[in-house]
Amino acid sequence: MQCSAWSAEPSLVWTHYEDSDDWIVFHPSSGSVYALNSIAHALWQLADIIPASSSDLSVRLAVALSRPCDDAFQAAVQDTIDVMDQAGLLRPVQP
Amino acid sequence: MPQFRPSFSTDVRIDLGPFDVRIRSDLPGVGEHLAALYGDFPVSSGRGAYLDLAVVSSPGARRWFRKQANLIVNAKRPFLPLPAVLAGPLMEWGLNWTMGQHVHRWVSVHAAVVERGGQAMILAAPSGFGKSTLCAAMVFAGWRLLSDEFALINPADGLLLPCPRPISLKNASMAVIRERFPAVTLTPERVDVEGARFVHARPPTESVRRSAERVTPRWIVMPKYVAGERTRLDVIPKSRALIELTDQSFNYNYLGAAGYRCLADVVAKADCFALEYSDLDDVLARLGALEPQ
Repeated sequence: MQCSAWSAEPSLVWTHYEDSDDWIVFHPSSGSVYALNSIAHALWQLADIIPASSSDLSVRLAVALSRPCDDAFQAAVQDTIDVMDQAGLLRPVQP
Repeated sequence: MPQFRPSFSTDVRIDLGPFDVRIRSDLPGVGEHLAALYGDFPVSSGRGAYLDLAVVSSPGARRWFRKQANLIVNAKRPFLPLPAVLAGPLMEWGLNWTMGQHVHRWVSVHAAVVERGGQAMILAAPSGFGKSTLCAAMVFAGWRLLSDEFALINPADGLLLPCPRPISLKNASMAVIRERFPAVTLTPERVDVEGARFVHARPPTESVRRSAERVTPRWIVMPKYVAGERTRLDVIPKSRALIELTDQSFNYNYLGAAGYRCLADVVAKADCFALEYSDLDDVLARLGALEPQ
């Protein structure tokens, strides 16, 4: 979905156990549960701090992970955003 | 035209764990099933969650020719009629259906639950993974049966509620349990609508007697029967166990965040394993060696 920015869905219930890097999230509105890896969770946290565009989120995530923000990284971030959008974990923010 | 009203030859009201269940039927198969498997259950105290089931014959010519059994739950008929010879099993399936679909006071998970030393093991797996066979082997080897079908978890305190009922055994597992535990009472062999041969095994008296004793979940095991394989009992990440439990839960999402948190808390306090097995002696020894806290 094309939009100017993404914000984090605030009603989610997150669970993290010390024995892995995974995060489990419950979406109260849909009743669905999803498993995310630590990078996807970090992406969600960045959107939770302040709504941002896909490209801004890519740059900020690359900095947080000390990775180059190249085309492949940006494409992977966009794919993750698309999945999180479909799952209702991120919300599009219209101007 | 007068409406057919069956005359019930069976009309009992018993405590099944946290449930107060009334069972009525005009078909002799239900009475025979109850007599064979439910002799240890107490007469209702009237305190449990009330369920009303009837298994009745079809009206008209079907009363005499190719007799049928109809399930009626709280005045509704959720299933198509089955042959009358399946009247007893239909009662069991009706109880399963009712508990899975209509009971939301507790978080329910499709799982067997057994206990020893005051701590419970949840055996959560889809149908056909060998869960009931393993459960039966454990129970008749000395573990206490809480349930063969449902882990019922109280969201208020995270404790498991016992609801011991007959254990359903299919196909090859019937012979396995019959040969290993010849004293166990089994119903006559029947064939279900999918063509599977099955029996029900009577729950141990001691498990029924202790139906009011709630238990702390200690282990979560995802069993899978794999013919010819050696026993593998591997620790799995709790995140995977939580996903599996939510997959197997009938109603956590009905209960919203409280239902989800209940399962997440159970997982947090449990040791979680994936199990592959084929040798019952070996798997019983491995599971018996797990240490209570």
